[in-house]
Amino acid sequence: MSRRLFWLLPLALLPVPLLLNPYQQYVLNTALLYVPVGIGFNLVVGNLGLLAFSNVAYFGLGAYTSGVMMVQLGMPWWLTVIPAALVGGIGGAIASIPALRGVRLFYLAIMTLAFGELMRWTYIRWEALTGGSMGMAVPTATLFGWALDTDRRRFYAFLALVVLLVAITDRLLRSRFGRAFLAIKDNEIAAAAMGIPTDRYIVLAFAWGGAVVGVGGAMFAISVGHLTPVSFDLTELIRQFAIIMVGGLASLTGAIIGAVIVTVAPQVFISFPGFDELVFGLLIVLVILFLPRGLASLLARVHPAFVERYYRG
Amino acid sequence: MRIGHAIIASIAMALAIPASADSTQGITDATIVIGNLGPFSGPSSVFTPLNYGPEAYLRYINEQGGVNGRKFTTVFADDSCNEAKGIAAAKKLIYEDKVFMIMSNPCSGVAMAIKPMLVQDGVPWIGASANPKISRPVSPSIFHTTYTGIESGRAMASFAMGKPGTTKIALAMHSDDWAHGYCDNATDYVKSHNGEIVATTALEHGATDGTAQALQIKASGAQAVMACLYQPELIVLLRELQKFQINVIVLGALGADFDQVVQAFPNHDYLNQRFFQPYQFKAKIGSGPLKKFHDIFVKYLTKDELPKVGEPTNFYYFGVPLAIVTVEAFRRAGPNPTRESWEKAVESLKDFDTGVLADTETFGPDKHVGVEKMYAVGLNAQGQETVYRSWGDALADSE
Repeated sequence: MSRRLFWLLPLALLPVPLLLNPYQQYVLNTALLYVPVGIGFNLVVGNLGLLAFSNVAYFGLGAYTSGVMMVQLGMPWWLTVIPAALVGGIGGAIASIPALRGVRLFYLAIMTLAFGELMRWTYIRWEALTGGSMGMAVPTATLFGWALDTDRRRFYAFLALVVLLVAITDRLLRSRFGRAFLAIKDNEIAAAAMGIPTDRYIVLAFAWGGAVVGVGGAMFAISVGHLTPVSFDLTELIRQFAIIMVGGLASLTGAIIGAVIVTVAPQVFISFPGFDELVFGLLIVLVILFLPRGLASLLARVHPAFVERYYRG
Repeated sequence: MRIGHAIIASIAMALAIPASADSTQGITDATIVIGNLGPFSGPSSVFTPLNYGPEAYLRYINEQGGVNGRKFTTVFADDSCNEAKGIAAAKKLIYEDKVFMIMSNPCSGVAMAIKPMLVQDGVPWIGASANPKISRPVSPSIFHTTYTGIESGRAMASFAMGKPGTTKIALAMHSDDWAHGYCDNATDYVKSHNGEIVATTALEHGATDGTAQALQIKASGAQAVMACLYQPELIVLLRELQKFQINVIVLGALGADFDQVVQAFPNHDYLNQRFFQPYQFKAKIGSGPLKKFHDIFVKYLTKDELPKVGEPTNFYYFGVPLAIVTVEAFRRAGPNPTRESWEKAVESLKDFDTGVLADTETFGPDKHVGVEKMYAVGLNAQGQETVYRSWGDALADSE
């Protein structure tokens, strides 16, 4: 089985909306929008190996950039996606500054966590732009004049974006950039000694990760239709962290699996109040204990096509 | 090519089929299916009595035979006060569980997020969220049977400023939509009645120390504090104010249970004639006309749905009018209710006494918030819980 067959998966998904009711479609859309969120997070934590927890900041930046441009400037959604990626990317580049100063491990985790909280504080305080803590209603999205006013319609836009982001990130990770990330992760000093400009690659990983997550934020804005700062709090960060932990660190397949599991699992237990938290916590513990490389590593055991080698040799 | 054509055709079909919910969904010959959406998990699960109160009343009505031969069936769904989760939960209720209507969501953010979907599909929502924008401007299927932030915020400010000479007000609040729902409206009232906001201080969720906030309030010279805080943080602030013996009156918002706050102070002399809350009910909790509802809660709720310790708190009572209005509207809608006839029936309610709230419910085509008038509750000079119409004007126990 060739890896190229993986690209048939999006094609197979095309008729799926015919089988789903609006609730199931919304859950599928939510899973889709969390794929780029997982990919971006994984780039820094998984591929680069840095403990940075500012993912929810890029997510919020992307969401609010898209929402504010639609509300304040009357722009169609599709025109806000690239600015959302840019702002997310800039956020990522800013969040990389402590890492460039040599901050690592828990210290980096705390500093980047603070960045996320600072952004949440900004959404609350910048009321004129964001609607403050009361939030802002995001108008119906359009794509080249075509209203994305149902979950079904949004699904196709989301699917196209996710395929694009997965393809670009896959190419990036298979290039010298990906190999540089791996070298930095394995031994940063050795990588620098071999002439790899580590600072440049760290900024790149943070910025691309931020941009990808920013697009996820733009998708979130139109999927939820109402943005409030509460959506970008620590609970959300834990959910996003769970995506890469459950799915698998440094794995694109893992980000996809993680996004699906973390989105769908709570829905299974939605009628059993509080039970989903229990199962969710248990799942994370079990995966960390028995599958430290996530559920994606199970697939890799099943077939070599699922093994992700972002290096030559 | 055939596969390509099939894929294109399937996409076209998927895009062409509209999603819709019919106006008698959830109604059978024997049952009416109600969705009960609330934060059954997460930090906001303290509000779940708002969901259990109406459920107790529906079980009580079921035992009386239901309405027009139909009994109520409730499907619970957890939103954790999270918008994305709330939308999923609401969609599940509507499109999978096929509920007639959604009841009782105390989370304003979730209510605002699901509102466009409810309005688009014409699904009735009746709730207790504080954000007044949920039902203002009027949407055909959205109703508030309890007080929003506008009524509660005004009640907080008007009670405090009813004390002669009180014009300097401080705000102590969370940085979230819930707190703004109260404090913004209290601020509007203060400013429009020649008062002054002399300090605004934030106390975030989970805060265990309020020293800085208490000292800021003291330095501002405030005579009263609008405390738009959840219960744990309200207790923190009151403790700090007590520690520094700061002489201000404190008006809590409806995110705290008055009795539980008072119980957190074994020696509550400091709270006497100092700590008050807007009061939604026509009598003291569990007494007078509210005794009937106390008995309903105790009889019809399970051990898990009742408080682990003590009697049902005011959140249980606050949720009940949702069910009372819902049931009355079904009675008025007749034997073949539709969503439209049920909504018309709610709009037909004038001066309808729920037996619970301080005010009667009055709705109309351009008025979807049923109540306005509120009382205040506090401890009198002897430390006895007292309900006030306004500053210094206490309700007699017999009322």
